[in-house]
Amino acid sequence: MFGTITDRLIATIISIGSLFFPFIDGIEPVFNDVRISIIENTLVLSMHLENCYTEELDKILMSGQVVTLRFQAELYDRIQTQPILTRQFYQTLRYNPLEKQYWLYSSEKDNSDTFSTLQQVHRNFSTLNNIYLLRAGDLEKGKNYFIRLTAYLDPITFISQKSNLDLMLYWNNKKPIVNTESFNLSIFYH
Amino acid sequence: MKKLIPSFRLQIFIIFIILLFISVMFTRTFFIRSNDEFLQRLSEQNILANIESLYADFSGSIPTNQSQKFNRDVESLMLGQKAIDLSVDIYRQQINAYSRYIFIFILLSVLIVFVLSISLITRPLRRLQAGTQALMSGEKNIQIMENRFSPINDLILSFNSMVREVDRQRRIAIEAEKQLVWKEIARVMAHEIKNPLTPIKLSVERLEMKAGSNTEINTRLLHESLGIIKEEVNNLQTLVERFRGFASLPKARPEFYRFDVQLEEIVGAYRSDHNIALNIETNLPLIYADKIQMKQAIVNLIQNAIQSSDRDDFHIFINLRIDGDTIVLEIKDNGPGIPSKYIEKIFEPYFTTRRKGTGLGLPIVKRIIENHHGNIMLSSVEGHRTTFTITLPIIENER
Repeated sequence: MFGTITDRLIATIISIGSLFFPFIDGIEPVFNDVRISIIENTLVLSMHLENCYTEELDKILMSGQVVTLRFQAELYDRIQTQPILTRQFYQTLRYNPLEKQYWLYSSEKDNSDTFSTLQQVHRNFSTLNNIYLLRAGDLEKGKNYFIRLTAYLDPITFISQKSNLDLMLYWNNKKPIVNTESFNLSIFYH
Repeated sequence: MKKLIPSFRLQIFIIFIILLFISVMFTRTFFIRSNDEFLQRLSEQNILANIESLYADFSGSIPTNQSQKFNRDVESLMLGQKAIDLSVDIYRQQINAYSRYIFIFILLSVLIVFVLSISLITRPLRRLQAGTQALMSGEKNIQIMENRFSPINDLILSFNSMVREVDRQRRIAIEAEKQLVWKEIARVMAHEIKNPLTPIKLSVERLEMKAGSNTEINTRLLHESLGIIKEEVNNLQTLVERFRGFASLPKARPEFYRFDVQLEEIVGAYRSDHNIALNIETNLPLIYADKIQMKQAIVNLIQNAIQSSDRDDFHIFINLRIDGDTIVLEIKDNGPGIPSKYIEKIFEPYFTTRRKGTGLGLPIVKRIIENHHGNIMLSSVEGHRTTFTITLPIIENER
């Protein structure tokens, strides 16, 4: 009885305390170098997520845990509030301690690359190059569009933890978000 | 300088917080250190390095058909160990953070308890203290605000009912005293009025008798009888005036003036007929008093002394001096003195030892002196002397 009350009290204290004083000093990543282009009559997206690694996050990357970074791209036209198109893609990273190599899997390319250093991982894990969005012909001529990009990390589970470790804590629980400049088809064909 | 010293309540609170802080920090440090030591020992096992070493030693000697499984198992072990290391690291961070949360929680709890104790105990106690002081300073119908959540609310209720009861008893006592005073006034008035009425009645009867016997009323008898009647009527008038004066002593209008000069003027009027010695200390400060009322008080005392004796060598000695922060006036006479049994009653209204006294002169003097925040004392040796000593506070004249 007393033990249950104590557990609940401490759990409540920790929950409330975490709201005001998180135990992780987080950072706030930002999208950079966002580019939209048409390649072979296809609208493609490239971008890089900056300021998204911390010392603690690096330790997790090096631990061999599968870390998944998810991206979401939503295509809006200027008039409607609902996205016309939503695309989700992800990249997973896993360190192999035996081979001392990082395996990076990209859902869009559906293949894996290997990297031997953390610097290489930093460059590639948070970068997307020419990701397919939709066929250019699906866009209406003369209509203005923009793309909203978000990214987030999946939680991971440890054997000693009662619950998952939410990796978004390292990002201050904030998904980075960016809206691209407004564009229409004409800017790609001049 | 006094304001820099924190209140007792604040001092207790600060000490309590410091003690709490130290105890929590000690506890926290103890547990975190123990935990860290445990985790340190765990990491010192260096399991990962051992696995790597084993892998390096035996990977070459594993048959080809089993090497894939061997590699998978070793990788799994290494991943497991890395996960443990990472968990330990995160656990350490969490323990640090959680201990902070619990410390802040305890601190806030203490603050809340402190604020509650102030509002439920200290504040009602202070109200009770203020109420007691107000009661002591003469306020009557004091009621302290109740707080039904306070543990001392019963005390407040008792205090309030006590004040109500005391007030009720006071009213009863005042009513009883009033009745007593009225009875006493009626008794004194009846006595004082009866005294002059007897000679008046006798004079009138004498005149009536002469007039009834048809004998000529001679001028001497007429003058004598009318003189008696006039004198007794005057006595009655004086009696009435005295009563009125005692009942409605006007509010004092104090001013700064030279008391020594006033005293010389008053004494000067009596010196032609009486033997009065006046001794005044030099460099007396100005007195802050109602000039008219002070004159009334001194005249009353001098006349009281004069009327007390018919000795030929009767003397009055008046002495005015400074004693500390007071001015002291002594009026001493070598008259018959006052019997010790009357000394306590001498300032009571309507008490007199003289046949024609109203018993109001000295009570008026006492009231005047007390209205000036002063004090009057009497000492007397029966058959030898009587001394009235008046002390008045010296008030700084800032002008």
